[in-house]
Amino acid sequence: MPDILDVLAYPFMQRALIAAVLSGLLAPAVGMYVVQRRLSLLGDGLGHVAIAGVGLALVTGWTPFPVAVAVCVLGAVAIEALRGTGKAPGDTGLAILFYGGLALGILLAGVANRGTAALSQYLFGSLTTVSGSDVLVLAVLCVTGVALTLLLAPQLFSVCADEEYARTQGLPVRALNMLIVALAAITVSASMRTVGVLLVSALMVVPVAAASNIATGFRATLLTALGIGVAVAAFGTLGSVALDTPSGATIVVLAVAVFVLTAALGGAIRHRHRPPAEEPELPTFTPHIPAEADATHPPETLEGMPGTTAVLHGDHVDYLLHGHRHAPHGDHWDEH
Amino acid sequence: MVNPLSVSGLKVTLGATEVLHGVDLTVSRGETVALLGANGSGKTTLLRAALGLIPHVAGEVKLFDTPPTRFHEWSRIGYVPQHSQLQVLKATVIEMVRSGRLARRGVLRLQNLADKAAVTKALQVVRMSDLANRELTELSGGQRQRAVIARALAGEPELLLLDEPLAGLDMRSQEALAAILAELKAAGLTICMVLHELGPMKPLLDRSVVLREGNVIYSGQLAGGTYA
Repeated sequence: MPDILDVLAYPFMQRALIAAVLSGLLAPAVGMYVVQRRLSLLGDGLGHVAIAGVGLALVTGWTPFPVAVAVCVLGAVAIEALRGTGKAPGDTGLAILFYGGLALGILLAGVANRGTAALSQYLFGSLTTVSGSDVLVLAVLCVTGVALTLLLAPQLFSVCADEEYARTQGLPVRALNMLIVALAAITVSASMRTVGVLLVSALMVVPVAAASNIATGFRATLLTALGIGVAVAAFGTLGSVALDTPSGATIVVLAVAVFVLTAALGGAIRHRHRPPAEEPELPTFTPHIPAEADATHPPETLEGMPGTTAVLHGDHVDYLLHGHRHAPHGDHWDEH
Repeated sequence: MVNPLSVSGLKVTLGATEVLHGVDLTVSRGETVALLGANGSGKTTLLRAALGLIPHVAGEVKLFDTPPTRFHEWSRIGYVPQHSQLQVLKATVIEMVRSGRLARRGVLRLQNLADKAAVTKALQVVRMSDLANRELTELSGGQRQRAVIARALAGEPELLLLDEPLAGLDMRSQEALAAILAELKAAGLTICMVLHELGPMKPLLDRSVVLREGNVIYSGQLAGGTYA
């Protein structure tokens, strides 16, 4: 087993650790809202679109990382824009987009004579080959993403809680929805080099799920998720060096282990502090006034007569006079 | 004086069906008005169109004399939606109530003392101060409804719009809610609520507007009655 501290002296290892921690911070920050909006699988699909960007970069000779980020964000914004106009691409449409993107990426990589081997570092992550410029791009994306999620937390929270209510608060609901999806695309593509697009959804979802096992309140859960994300990214990276295992997979397995641990812990906490029983909900009580069936008063006298009282009866209004209910019916009055 | 809510000749279509056929409704300052009608009569549609949540094809809606599309003073309105979802992961009562302050807080501004005081007050009014740090998923239906009303009150609105606030609540919770709204009415709040039945709200109401198949068929005092 190599000595961890010796390994950390290598610049490539320092870059790997920085990149992992940045991903570990960004993924749960965005994941908090991705989970609320039930977009976990959209995140997964966007990773497939990012692969098309990598393929495009391999063919054109551009730097793969920024191209993948751009293609992925464009794809996400297009999907959300369609959803916003009510022309939501259905399940099938999304599948065509995602698998089309993945296939296109593999095809372009083949055209560039780089084969699937060049793609595998994006599919599964390859922390130790992260370059200095990769770290820089990742740092910019991460700081921007985390800053946006924290600064706009109250607004994003409100939109996730209740979109219509958010509109009656004058919030730009469509722009905020777009922001969540764009941030998910940034997270997915930015995490390509660290955990790989196939596992990045796990880094968005699992720390949030683990945090929700033990924390109370949205803000506490968010902060706990950030802590768990950073911890599993850092220790997963070091662990992968110590155990000579793939870094992305090690990080995600560690995250799942933390989830299992917190689930057991959370269960124990809840068992001790059981909240008092809820007030019993009684069935809704509907007062019922029996209809009278006596027709001794001529209904015509009702019109404009003081002393009549309007009473709701079924889907219409009755006019009460001398204890009898009169309902307008065409040109006459019915006794109800 | 400007009416908090005024609707005239309002026509709304949902899909190919016209749901409201030219409805007039005015809610004056300080008034408490109920919108009544059977299922499908258009009462919830009327409320949602008044808020600009669904578009109308003809007629006019004015919130404090401004059409919803050009309306910006959203803090003057407190909306209590029907069966509010509130499915935010782990959110507590106070976190939800704080989100009712956003129309006043705006973007990138931390809570100040006035925001905190308004949230505390809103929780007190609905008698939820003790449950402020409870998660929403642990609440009963009546407590959840009170939390949603507190969210609407946190913005210190002038007009409170409620969509079937009594739905699904037991008699005791309904009476508790009516008592809270009676206090708000006494404090001068203008209230307009969609109701399925008058129930314990009856003594609060200055006026009832009854809808039937997308038309207003009655507007005035109601002595009570039933909805079968």
